[in-house]
Amino acid sequence: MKKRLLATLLVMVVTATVILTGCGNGGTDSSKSSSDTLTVMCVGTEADTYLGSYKQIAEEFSKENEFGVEVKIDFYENEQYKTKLTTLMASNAVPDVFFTWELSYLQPFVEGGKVADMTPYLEEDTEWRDQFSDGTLELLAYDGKNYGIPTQKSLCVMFYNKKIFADNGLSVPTTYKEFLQVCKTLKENGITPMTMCGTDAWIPAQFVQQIAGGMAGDQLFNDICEGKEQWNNETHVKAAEEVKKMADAGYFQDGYIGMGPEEARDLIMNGTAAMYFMGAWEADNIQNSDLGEDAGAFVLPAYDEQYNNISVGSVDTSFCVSENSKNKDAAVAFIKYWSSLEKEEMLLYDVGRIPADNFELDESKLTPLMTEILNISNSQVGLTPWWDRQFGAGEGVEFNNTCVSILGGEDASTAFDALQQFAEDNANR
Amino acid sequence: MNKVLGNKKSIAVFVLPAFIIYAVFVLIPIGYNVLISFFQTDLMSPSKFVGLKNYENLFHDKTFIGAMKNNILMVIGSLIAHLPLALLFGNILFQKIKGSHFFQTVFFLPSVICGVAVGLTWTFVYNSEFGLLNKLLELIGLGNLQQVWLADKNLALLCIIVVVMWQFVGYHMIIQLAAMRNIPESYYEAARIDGASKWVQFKAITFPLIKPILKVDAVLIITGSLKYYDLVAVMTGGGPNHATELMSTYMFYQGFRTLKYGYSAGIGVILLIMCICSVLLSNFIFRTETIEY
Amino acid sequence: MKLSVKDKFFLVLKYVALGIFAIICLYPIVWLALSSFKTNAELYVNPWGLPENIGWENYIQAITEGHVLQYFINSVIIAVSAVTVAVLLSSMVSYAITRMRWKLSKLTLNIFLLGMMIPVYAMVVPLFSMFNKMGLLNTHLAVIIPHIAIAFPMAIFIMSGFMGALPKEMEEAAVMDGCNIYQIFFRIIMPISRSSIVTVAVVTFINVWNDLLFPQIFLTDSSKMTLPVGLTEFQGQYTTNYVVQIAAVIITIVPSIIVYIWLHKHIMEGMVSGAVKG
Repeated sequence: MKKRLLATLLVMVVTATVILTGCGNGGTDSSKSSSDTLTVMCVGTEADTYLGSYKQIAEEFSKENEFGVEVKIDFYENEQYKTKLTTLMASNAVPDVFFTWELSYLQPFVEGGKVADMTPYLEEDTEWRDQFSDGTLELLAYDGKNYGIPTQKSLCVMFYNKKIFADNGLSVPTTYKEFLQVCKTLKENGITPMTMCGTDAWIPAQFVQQIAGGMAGDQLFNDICEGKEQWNNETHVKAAEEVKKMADAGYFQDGYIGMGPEEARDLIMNGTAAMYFMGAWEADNIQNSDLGEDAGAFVLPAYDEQYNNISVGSVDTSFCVSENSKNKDAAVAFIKYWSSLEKEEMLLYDVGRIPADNFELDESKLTPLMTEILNISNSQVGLTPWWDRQFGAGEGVEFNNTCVSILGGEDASTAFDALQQFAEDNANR
Repeated sequence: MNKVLGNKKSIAVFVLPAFIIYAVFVLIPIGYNVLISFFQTDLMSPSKFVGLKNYENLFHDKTFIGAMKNNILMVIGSLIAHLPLALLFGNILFQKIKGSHFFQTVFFLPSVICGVAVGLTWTFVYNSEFGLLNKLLELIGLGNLQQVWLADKNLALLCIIVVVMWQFVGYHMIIQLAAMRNIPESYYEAARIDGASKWVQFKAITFPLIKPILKVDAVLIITGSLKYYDLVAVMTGGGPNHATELMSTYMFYQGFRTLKYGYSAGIGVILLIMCICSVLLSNFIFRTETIEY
Repeated sequence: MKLSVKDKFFLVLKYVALGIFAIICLYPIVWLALSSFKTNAELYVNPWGLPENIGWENYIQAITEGHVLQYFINSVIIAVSAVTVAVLLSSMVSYAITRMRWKLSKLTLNIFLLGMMIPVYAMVVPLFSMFNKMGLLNTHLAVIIPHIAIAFPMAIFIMSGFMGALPKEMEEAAVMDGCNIYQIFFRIIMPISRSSIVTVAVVTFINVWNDLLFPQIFLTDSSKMTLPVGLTEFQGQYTTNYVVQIAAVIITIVPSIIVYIWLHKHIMEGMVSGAVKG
């Protein structure tokens, strides 16, 4: 009797385990990482217009490639992607090809030996290596070795509503003073000059960074990176105060500090606000909105004219190959396919993504907005990557937070002193 | 009897499965966590033993200190809402009153909803453009008090604490009410014969008799609010500028964003120590002799 | 019994207090439910009133584009497995601790109760590397197992309180009848402990169903995610399409509310008879 019950119990436990394990493994993609599947992980959501084009590239490669691999590409929302990649890295379960940000974001993964060295592939195919614009590959190189391939370039531009400008007799400002004058006129005419997002700290921060670049050039950026200059330098304080002044003058929409990025973007797209300072990656969303042909872009004139045309910008949508990938050759071929002239053109003409290469482009196929943006891109003499890409989730994110807290009313020099203190403390954590 | 209830083999069958799972998936991870808090590690490159350095750094880390303060404020807010307020409602419903069942159900309702959904709901309430709160202020003519609630570094934490208070009043009320229901009716009958008022009855009978439960409940409240995570993660993500950072969200940030796992583990250990201390403290405050009833 | 003026006054006061708090508890939920049928434009213009017409578009969009159904199934699989195992094993332990005769029972109880103080966040990184080595990452087991483990302290706390208070005569009679320990447990103890078992099951269910952390970290495929993670993903994806987000929130909270209302009587009983004696 006792034995039978014990047996029943055991059977129950075993069944439970089997059921549980069954659930666990019986997911939808048990085919994962078999040798003929190339797994790719990328940032993106259904709301992004580029998603379809990216999927198309993956599908076409699956059909055409000589390795007989099929690409399985998964998209994740930005924050989720970061958590996911971090955990996958620590567990050696990285997909064959993964999206990455440049500079400090990729660095720990490279140092942890998780990322395949791309240098041999680039050296083998010098034509491919030489197609990239100057300096773009370096943003993903560590110790002189290339670990990631940039497929796009991006920079911050000032989107504006041509109709509002014309209605108010305004033209694109060429000096910083004129820019402030434009804001003033718009404000006086009852139009929100600029739309801004306060909840995502990097958005006001990139504006502060752009103005700081216009005050002291890219030398400031390089000096901070090399540790020759401190975070609480005068330029940072002055630039942040400048943005705060604009906020106080009502140049940003009411309640901007509590608005998310999409809420803020809606205001330029529905014609409520006249300007929007944002990465060029938003161009496609903006030209597909109600704004349509009225959308234009200009580069924010520098505070000090000698530093004109230095913008916040960097490479975008870079890809790496996992060191553990069983299909490295196919993975590299996939990235190469993605960065080919044909695909880069498709991404540019269809969804407004700027290639990271120096291809000759057919300007007739460009939308008016993209023509303006490409002109801006080509006329920049210096690009400074976003601080949170240069320094990652340490000083970079804290720089962003510092900017937001200044907009929230904190004294600028106190806030930057605190950032400097943080940077010193963070060095040995 | 002893032969059946003292049988070693059957005791093992009853206890071991759970104990093994518990040891492997709770006790060992905690031990491991304590261990890696002595290292500087990103779990990829070789780890470096740093002794107590992580702890030393933590106590010089303004954000961490801020997070700790926020956690303590959260404990205080929860204690206010979940002891006196819950006790008040519990006591009202304990006296036979019409609709008692309905009110119990309604009050308990918020605590069954997941933190993420609660967080999203209240994000809508606090939304500066169409949120309930600002619209309400406008409606009653206090439009000038409208705020960007969650983006204001002085208000954001308060807003979140209010949500925590709201969410769990009913939960703790039910626990306390359950304790009250367990007090024999004869005690109150005797008190009524003596002409004791409701307040005297509460003071002399109800409160002392449910004190042991209040102790347990206080522990649940304190440890619960020290461990809070979802609401903040959804509503503010710890922002603006770490103003609503809690120890748990900061731990997540240091581990999974900056890859400083050793540092992050240190936060976990401090959290554990704080939980244990709070238990000892509430044991001290609510010290009672065991009451048999 | 006649009420004096003072008593009446207090009674009114009590109802006012209860009523106000009931509204505070219910209103946000009702507001959400109403808003889930509105359009985005309506939400801005008419945040208070009833929706103009009842349409299920938001729900359809949440289910088709947001994969809410898939998340829902995953949540059910995880919650049901975790609750079943946790309830079974913890009631066995509680029985052994309170009714069986062995030296280490008190110590074992205390070791389990210690777990109530442990913040789960302190376990995430170690669990992560353990599951990695065991190859369990990105499987539902990686979420189920830790949920079972962290459910034990509270479950044992409640059930040992209940079982400790049962009269001894019950087992004595059963032993006389020739029952063995397993029969006593499954045929006698389990049935009469029903209310405390239900309490434990509901508390565990709510914890598992609502958890954000474990699935977010231990699962990677969106096809395996649970509802709370899906909701956060949704928040990132439909940032300004609030009504669809709201519809997804409603889909998430309805099962908890149903389970709760359905089992409300048992929960109260369980708490009265169980937790109290702890």
